[in-house]
Amino acid sequence: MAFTSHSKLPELNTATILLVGMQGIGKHRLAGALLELNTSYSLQVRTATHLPLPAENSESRPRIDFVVFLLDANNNMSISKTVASAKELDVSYFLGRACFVVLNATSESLHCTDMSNITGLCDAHDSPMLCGSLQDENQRKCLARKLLCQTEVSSGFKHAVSPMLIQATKHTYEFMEPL
Amino acid sequence: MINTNVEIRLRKVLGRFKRDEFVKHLREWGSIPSGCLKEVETVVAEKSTRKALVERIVQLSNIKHLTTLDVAQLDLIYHQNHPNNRKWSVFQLTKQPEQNEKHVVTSPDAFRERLGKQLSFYFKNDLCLRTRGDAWWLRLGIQEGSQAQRLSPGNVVYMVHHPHSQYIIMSSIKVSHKDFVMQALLNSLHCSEIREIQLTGRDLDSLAALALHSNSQGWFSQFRLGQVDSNPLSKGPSRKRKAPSDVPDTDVVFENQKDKDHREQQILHAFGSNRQPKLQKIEYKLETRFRGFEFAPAMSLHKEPFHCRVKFEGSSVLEGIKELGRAGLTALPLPHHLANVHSLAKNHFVLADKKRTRPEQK
Repeated sequence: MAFTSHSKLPELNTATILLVGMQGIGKHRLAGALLELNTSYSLQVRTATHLPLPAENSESRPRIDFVVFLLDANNNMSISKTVASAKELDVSYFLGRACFVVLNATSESLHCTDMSNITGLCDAHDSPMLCGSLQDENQRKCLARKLLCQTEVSSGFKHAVSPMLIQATKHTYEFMEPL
Repeated sequence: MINTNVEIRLRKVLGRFKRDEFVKHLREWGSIPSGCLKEVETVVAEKSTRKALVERIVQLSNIKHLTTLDVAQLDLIYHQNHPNNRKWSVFQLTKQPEQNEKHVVTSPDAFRERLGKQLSFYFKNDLCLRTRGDAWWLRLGIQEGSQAQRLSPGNVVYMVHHPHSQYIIMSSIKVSHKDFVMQALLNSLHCSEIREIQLTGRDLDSLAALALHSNSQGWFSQFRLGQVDSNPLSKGPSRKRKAPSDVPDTDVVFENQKDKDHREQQILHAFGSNRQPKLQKIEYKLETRFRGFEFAPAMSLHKEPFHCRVKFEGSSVLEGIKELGRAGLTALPLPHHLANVHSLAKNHFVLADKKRTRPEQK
């Protein structure tokens, strides 16, 4: 059975973030950057190449607070794998506890699909989309900080802010036709 | 007249040497008396220009008594130490079974004499042979045509033969000389046939390894290199079992570890854990029917073969294919024509559809 956001009790002062992305995309570099940011709570990063997660680990796995889908705009396989994995994630995560990160979004000439497909994917799952890169250290730290901000909200560390509030007040990516 | 020729050649060969190789190779060459060698050493240490160094060496060597053969020897020494600048191709010799016991090439010198004699039927040549490790290196300089032609590098052929094996590795030969050289080789090695196998490349040691050890590449290379553990005293200290702790000892946990381990196992079984021999190019000629129907549905009507050529190029293509699996860019296990390249002793392949043995049902 796939994991849900409310099937386990949270642990004291911990946050768990799950990175889902194709092999070789740089999840472990991002995990390193996330762990380098000193936080007052303990952070655990879990990485996976696809969902659903193998059943053997479900006992020892803590409650996942935030799910990040990493996809590379230059790589067709990563996009298709992300689309397939996003279908497997429990629906309760798409209420502010998941987000999509697009890598290599700036190199237009190397894109293998229209950006509108990717923004369409994010709109279909009603989740925020972040663009970033994992090559440069500064950009990695920046991305890590953004993700950590959202994780803190969904772990409940921010008083009176819940993921649903963020979800309801964010704007979507459906652009209007230029007039 | 002869001496100026020799001098020109000597300068050319010496000009290729790197600064720190001079003393070692000149000592191996043996045409410079040892007293003068000491002087060469001091000149090298002085950090003068290379041109001045070459001049000094030419002066020191006894130019009157040097022959083209001596210069050829020096050239061969240079090439033995820099084998990776040339394009090599591998040839296979076959012997008739009755020739096996009677005629065996006994020693390198006997081989050189015989080959020199055979070649002299066809053209004037100078041939020198040096052993290196367990291989015989030959340099054949063909002295035909005008003066300028004789000095050109196109008339020089380098050959490497491992005695008692059936392979010869040769550098590029001119088409006009090829048949004669082949015939001379056949006669001197007592073989009946020589043919070019589709194995080419730049790295000589890798080509030799692929041709000679084609049965022990990949997973089996560990047996050839003696890496299989058989010494009972060599096992490390036994690890005591530790009770699993409640606190997670790592902050980064990989969920699909089992998949990753499985993939690593498959790669290990296909390629082994040793470094792969270096090939610069693998080429596939495809003569199969078109197979990408989901992208081009109109092609499904065409039944004739779709000719296509795929080239993999790089500094070490076999390592690259191994890394493809590791990076997750291919589905494992790799198909035979990619995974077994190290055992096939070829790098030009032709892939064709299987011919039907039964007639098609109407």
